[in-house]
Amino acid sequence: MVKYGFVIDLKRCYGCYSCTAACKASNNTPMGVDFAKCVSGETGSYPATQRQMLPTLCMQCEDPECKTVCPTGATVQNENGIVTVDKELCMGCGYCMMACPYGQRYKISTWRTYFPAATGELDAYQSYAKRKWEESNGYGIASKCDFCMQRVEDGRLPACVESCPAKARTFGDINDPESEVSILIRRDRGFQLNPEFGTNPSVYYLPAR
Amino acid sequence: MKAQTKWGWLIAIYLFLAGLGGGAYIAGVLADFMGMSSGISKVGVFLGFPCVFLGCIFLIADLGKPINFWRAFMKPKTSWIARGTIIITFFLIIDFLHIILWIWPFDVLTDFTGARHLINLLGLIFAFGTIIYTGLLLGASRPIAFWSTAMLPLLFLVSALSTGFMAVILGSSIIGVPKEGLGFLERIDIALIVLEIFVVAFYLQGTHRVSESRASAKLVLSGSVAPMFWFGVAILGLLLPLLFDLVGLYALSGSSSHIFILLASAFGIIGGLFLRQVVLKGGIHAPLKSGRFEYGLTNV
Repeated sequence: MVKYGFVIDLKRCYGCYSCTAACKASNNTPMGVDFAKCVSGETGSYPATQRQMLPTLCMQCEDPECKTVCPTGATVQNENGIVTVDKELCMGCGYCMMACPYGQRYKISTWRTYFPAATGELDAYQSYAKRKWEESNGYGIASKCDFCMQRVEDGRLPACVESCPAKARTFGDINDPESEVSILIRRDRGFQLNPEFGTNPSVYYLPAR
Repeated sequence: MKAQTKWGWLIAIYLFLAGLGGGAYIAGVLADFMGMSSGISKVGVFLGFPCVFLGCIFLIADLGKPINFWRAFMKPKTSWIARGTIIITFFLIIDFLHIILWIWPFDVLTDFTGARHLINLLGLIFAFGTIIYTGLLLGASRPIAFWSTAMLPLLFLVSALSTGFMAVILGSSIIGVPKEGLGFLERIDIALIVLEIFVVAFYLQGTHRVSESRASAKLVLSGSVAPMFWFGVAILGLLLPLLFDLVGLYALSGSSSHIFILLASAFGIIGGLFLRQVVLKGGIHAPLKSGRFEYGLTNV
């Protein structure tokens, strides 16, 4: 059985936010929803400091906490390991947002434009994005990244992988020991974020040094 | 690290009212079992349903899609919200029957002591379930160490019993039922307040193991939540009620004693609401950890 996963090489990521932008363009996410978010971290004290970018997305955990706490059954785990939300079933209680160790659930109540000074009707691009968002997710539900499942089914790569100029992101089947992701995880000391929560994420990171 | 912002006053009011209603019901049932005047007991039993029901309205108002609220029952195997919804529904049904068969419009349970005690016992179980569930609900959020602790259900239990007893004392005084037996509830309430002071202290003391719950304790004790904690919970909700109850019960008598006890109860009840909000506002998610780097969550 195929189980989709990611390998993100922290040595390669330089924080250009291409993944964030490509994700927004592909999923038509409004302001306040960032399925592919890149966060910046610092450590040490001056002058011995370091900075490291961390691209995040839904980890598509094998034992997803969000699915455990979901009272409605709206959160489901597909056979390929991808966790999705049925927007017709979700009641928007926000329990998954409290339970997700990775902060990858997004709930918004209304469409917010990126151009707050603009007046009148939304322009053609924004009204297209708004319509698409309302078809796919809408408001009041806890939406999330689904590894661009529609693109993957069409034989394409997730938008964030395709757009990454540093080739920091690799997508593939982590159940297949000969796949590129599996080899990278084995060979380059792949690790998962916050394993202490026991959710077994499908997104692996390669150490920065 | 920033505290969660998604659950605010609406959820705090819900947690508070569920505790208050359950606690008042328990006080009423206890008064009935102890053979106190049935007026006191009826106040407690009568307060349960409207408080918990109103709390549920606040919960539904907080939902992103209130129209789907009935789906909250669907996954009791794993979800504490689903389990809690079922527990609360049973409590509401039992208390509703209790009210219509004993208080209004019928009064059949007065003569059938056995049947009344059976309903008392059933209601008692689900009232405790309702209260304890509010603590377990938050405790199921594993990344929030401030909530995910064994102390929280205990804290909510003690606070719910205390505010419930106070509501019964207040309600009985307002409608002027015979006061014999009320002194007993007041003495239990003093014990509950003392116990709650200890539980709050241990709850905050027990936060030292991981960085995010240390940050929570700091936020509550000296950060942005501190004014609400010190003035709303510590002084208004615990110290003043304790002081006023002691003064009213042991130093004064007559109507001045009465006023002190009413004030103590009113303050204590408001303090219970602040306590829920302090716990919610103090909830900080564990940061993402990669090597030596820590990244606070941005979307919570």
